[in-house]
Amino acid sequence: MESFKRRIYEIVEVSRKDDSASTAYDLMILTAIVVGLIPLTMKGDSIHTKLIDFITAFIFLIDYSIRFFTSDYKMGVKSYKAYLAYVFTPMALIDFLSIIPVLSFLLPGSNIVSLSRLFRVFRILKLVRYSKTMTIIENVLKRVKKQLFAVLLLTLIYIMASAMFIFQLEPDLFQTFFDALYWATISITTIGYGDISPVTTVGRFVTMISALVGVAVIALPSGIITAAYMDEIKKKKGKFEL
Amino acid sequence: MASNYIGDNGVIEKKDIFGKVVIGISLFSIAILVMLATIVILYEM
Repeated sequence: MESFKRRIYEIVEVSRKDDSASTAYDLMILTAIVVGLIPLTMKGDSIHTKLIDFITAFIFLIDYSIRFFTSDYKMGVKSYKAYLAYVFTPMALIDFLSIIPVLSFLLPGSNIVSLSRLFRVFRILKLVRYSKTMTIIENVLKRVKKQLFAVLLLTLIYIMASAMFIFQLEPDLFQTFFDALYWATISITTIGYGDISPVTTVGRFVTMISALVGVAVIALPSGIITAAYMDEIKKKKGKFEL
Repeated sequence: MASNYIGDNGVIEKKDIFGKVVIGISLFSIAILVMLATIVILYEM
């Protein structure tokens, strides 16, 4: 039984070159991901798109069940803790989100169900598992998560502060605080739709500062990620040279 | 020993019947999905 379970694990994991069963399984999942997205590019449903939905949902449900069943091999721990830990890994969460549309077949007709079908979009993230470059990006994001979190926190603080400031300065222009938050976000990201724009001199001055801060805030994460990415590539090259 | 065979390197290896079943199911599913995708793309888009 254990060797059978081990074989199932080998098949569902990303394939080795000499394992044709695993390659065929990966190919089936990749096809299901790509074909499963086709109904989202169309308005309305037909019998064929419904059939595509049903087959892909069924494949992903089976895939999730098998991955859960073999998660003790994946996590390298032979206890119930492995199953619990596996459920909260990023890829397992993506897998779970992508099987939520199965609800539309189990409970037809309810409002939550029609919303759940939107979760089909998450299936595209399942492609990450099959891309080696994506694993580099994953490592990079893990390495610089503290710096990115710091930038995010700084940005949120600035958005909150400037929204409060402008909300007090221009009470006629901003009906709700959410409007002010929206304006602050659009200004700091330098998008500037212009649907809400300040009319007082002080308000315009705040907008100018927001735009300038925005340039720095947008540039910071790009720089952090690029530097870490270059480091990661150098490391990979170094490994091959050794 | 009926489920075993001698591999390329002379070692007795297990016959992977389960693997073959998986290949069959996978290829069948791929064929159905590609057929449906072709119908949708050609006639309904």
